[in-house]
Amino acid sequence: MAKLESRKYHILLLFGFFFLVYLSRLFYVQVIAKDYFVNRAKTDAVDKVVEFPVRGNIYDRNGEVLVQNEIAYDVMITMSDFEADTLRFCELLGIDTVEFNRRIKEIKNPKLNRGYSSRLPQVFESLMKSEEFGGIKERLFNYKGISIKKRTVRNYPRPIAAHVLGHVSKVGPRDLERDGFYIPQDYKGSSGLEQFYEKELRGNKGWKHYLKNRHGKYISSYLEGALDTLPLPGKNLQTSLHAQLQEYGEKLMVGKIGAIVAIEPKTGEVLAMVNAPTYNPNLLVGGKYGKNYQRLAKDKKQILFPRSIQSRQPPGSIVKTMQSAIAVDMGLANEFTAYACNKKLVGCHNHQSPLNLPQAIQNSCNPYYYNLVNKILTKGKSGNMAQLRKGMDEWEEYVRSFGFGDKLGIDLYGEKDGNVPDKREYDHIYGKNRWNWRTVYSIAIGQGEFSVTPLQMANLACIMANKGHFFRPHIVTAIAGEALSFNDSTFRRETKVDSSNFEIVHNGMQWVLEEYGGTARSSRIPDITVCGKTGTSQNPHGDDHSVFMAFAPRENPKIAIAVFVENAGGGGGTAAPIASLMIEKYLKGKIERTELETEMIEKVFFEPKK
Amino acid sequence: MKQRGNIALNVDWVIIGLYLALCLIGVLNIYAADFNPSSADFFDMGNRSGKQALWIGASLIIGITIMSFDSKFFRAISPVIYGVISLLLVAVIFLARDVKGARAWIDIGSFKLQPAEFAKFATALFLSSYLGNITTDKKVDESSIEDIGKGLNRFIKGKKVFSFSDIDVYGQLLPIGIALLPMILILGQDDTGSALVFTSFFFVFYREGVIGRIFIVGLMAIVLAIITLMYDKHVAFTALGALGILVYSSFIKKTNMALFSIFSVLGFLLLLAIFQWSTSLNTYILWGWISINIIIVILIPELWKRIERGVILGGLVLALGYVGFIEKAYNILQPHQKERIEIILGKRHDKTVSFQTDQSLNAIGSGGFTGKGFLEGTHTKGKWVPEQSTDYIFCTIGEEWGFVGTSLVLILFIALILRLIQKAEMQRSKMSRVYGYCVASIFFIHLLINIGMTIQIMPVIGIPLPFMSYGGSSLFGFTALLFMFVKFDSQRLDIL
Repeated sequence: MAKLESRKYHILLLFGFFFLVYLSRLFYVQVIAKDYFVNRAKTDAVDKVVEFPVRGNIYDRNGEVLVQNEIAYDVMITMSDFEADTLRFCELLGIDTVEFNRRIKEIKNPKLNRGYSSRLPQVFESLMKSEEFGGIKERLFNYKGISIKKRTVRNYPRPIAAHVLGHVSKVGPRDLERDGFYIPQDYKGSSGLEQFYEKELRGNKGWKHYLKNRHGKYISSYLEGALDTLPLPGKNLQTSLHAQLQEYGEKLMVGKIGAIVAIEPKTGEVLAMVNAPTYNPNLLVGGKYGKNYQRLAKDKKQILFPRSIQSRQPPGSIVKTMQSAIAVDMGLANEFTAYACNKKLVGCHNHQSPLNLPQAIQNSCNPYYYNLVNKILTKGKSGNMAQLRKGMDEWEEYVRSFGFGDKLGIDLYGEKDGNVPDKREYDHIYGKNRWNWRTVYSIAIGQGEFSVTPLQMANLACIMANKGHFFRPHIVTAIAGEALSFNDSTFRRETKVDSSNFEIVHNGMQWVLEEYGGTARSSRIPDITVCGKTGTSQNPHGDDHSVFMAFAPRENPKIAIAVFVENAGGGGGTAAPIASLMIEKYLKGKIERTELETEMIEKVFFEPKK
Repeated sequence: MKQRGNIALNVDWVIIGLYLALCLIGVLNIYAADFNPSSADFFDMGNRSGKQALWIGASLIIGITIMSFDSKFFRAISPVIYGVISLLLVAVIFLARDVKGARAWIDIGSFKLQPAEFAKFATALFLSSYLGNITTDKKVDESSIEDIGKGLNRFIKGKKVFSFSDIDVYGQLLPIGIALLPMILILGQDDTGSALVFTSFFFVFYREGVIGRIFIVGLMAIVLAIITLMYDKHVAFTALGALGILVYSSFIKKTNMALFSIFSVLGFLLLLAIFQWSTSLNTYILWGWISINIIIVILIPELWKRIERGVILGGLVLALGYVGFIEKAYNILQPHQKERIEIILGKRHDKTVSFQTDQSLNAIGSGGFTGKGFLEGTHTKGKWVPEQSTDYIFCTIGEEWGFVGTSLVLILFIALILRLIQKAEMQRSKMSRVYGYCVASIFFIHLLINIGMTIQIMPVIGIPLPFMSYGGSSLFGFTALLFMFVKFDSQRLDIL
């Protein structure tokens, strides 16, 4: 009997053992590994539903809307509930069954569509515009498993300044990796101001938390909405763009390839930035984005290329204004300094000879600047390499102070720096000291290795207008109603040329338009004193590019402008009239020289697409 | 001073109290699991909580009814009850509709009767009344652990180790048969879970000497093999070590030793839990722990004089080798053979089953230490765990009441089981003692399988949690089972 009684302890111990195992397992699951299970339970039972914020609007300098938002509709499909005659459904949405099957495959692919669930709505057709959606709305609601999600898309009341404003596109895997802000359904600015001011424009997403049941249906809000947040709209941007001027510039540039940049010289505010050919920014919006983007990106004329800040071309003769100012500042020339037009040195056109400094600007005499820059670089000691190297350095320092060779720092991504040739570059090309004045003289007339962007050309016009200083060109002037303060040291920059030395150059620039023999005489505007300079940017691949730079009025300048038209020949023929029309438009608000206007609009270099 | 004949004074109110507490916790959590904001009335008969409350009332009537009969009456009619239930079990196989793969329910009006729930009660009653009348002590000595050595000795000398005449038909075969018959019938209903519950009678057989330690060793070998295959060898080693401690502390009969054993097992399991179930660190801890066990066995002076030391050490080494062998043997199996074994063990499920168990663990784990609060369980509200008011009621407790709730329920159950065993050992009649053990063991197996399933240490076997799961049949069955013992216990002083 005693033996059997001891067995009760065996049983008690076994029961006790089980009790301890279970208790420690519960302790592990509920106390030690709690966070893991809390997370898993949350992923399962709590749905975070995003509420997208409205992107900030963009306004022009007069408060006119350039970019706003409009409602668009995502057609969502819930695979587990979806029941439809596929053929008719496709017909409704205007797609074929091949496309339908492709999209379904894409939706179901967990690699492309992370977090896919057959019970949750997935985007089938994204961002349908109200006008398309309105027609099929009623019939769409008849389908089981189809729902609608309201989104907003960009809308451009005036289809202008496409490159400057930029566009938004769906975020990619890289964006998701880099910036925790984004979720896969997000859109972000991917060019222009949209990209540069993405953080200001995007706002903050709102989140609603719902408790859902096993079948994915929402039963209530989670924790009575304690975790919920409201979406915060993006900030509005106030730009310095002048909508009418911008629009007019684009009208003038139809059928041409090139750029116009107009800046208010007193502030550095960009008034207009035309990139031609341009496109209607409404094309890169909503559901048709992909197709249109492909079409624009493939276009041989590089429609999407923002030429005003990225196209690098030799500036041509417009730099003669700068060379003159440098020479005067170095004390190597004054208004009486004259050189004969010796075409043996460098090619020129026919004009009176010899010329003094303003006349040389007026006539754009190449041999004059051959001599003048020769003097700057060699100080008359021809053949002295050491002097040439020193002269190059001095000259380079002057030129760089004019904002060339470096990005100006406009508030757009992708701005190019251009190139100011220096001794290191020539050493590199020809070998150390194996070059001389004759190798480099083309920099005197803004050709050769010298390259600048249209923005830098306009900036040169600003420097001329301001007599020796410039402000960093910028487009956005206020964010959410708060004016940006530009008080950093790089905002106002002085050139090395003293302001007193610009008067002579201004004389020459005024004569370009007003005196007999001036290279842009046909572009003069009655009642407005315009100072300008033509240029021809040599193009080894085809016809030369037409360049013109100007500011007006001469006293108290209000606008500085550069026009660059590819393959349009000399500056006086195309670029100068366009610039003068822009100035007239801006200063007078209307065009009185309608014949010139019509001529310029009708002057096309390719047949523009409708 | 207890008086004979006064039921109110002789009834064990601890058991009744624990019973009521468990029922109450159960119905409260059924309300939460079945909660529907549009009809939030607790006692609404359209709600499961309302129905369960009604059934609790009905089972109290059943309990009182049982208490009002004399225990001799039940002893007398126990063969009849057993016979009727057995016939009913046979009938169910042919009559019942298929519900969730099992044919276990018969419709009586709107009430679905599950005879298997009552079969436990009937079998326990009949078995105890049968065993109460026979003596099995003689056979026990021949199957005690010392005999393993003796048997080995006989085997070495070429003598006969075993003969069929050793088998005691009335003392061994018949009681085992009584337990096996309903088990087989229930297996015939494809109700594996309920059938498995009948293995609980083997604890009773062990206690009463129907089966000896050799049988237990065999059983342990099977359990070890299953544990090795279901989890990994580390868990099997742990179980083995615990078993070792169990055996030698039972020899020593020293309380402090037993306490040490319990705490070392607890500590070890905590370490295992903290370092997850399988890491290399875990292996070191394990071997360290096993070494300590072996050293303890060697160092205890009381054991030096006894033959058991060799048996324990040898057994431990043999068992370690055995676990290693099982694992190796399993690893050389073909993939498709492995797959079949894993399906049998419940290690592999189809997607819906693993979804169910994952959600169950998510619900319990996310409850944390104090739980999310009554009616605040996100998984419970979202009906993420299927069968949450019946088989998975423990999830609701885990999610809404946290570790505090689950450990309280576990403690209440263990308290009930220990109280039952304590009371059983106090019985003067053998029948009452056997019955007490039957009840305790049945509750234990239910607890082991049901809670084990919700926390993923047992395969998915659908059996209810006593007193707590929604369902009239099981509640009535468990109540009858328990109150019969309370009745026997209240009359223990009547037996001289």
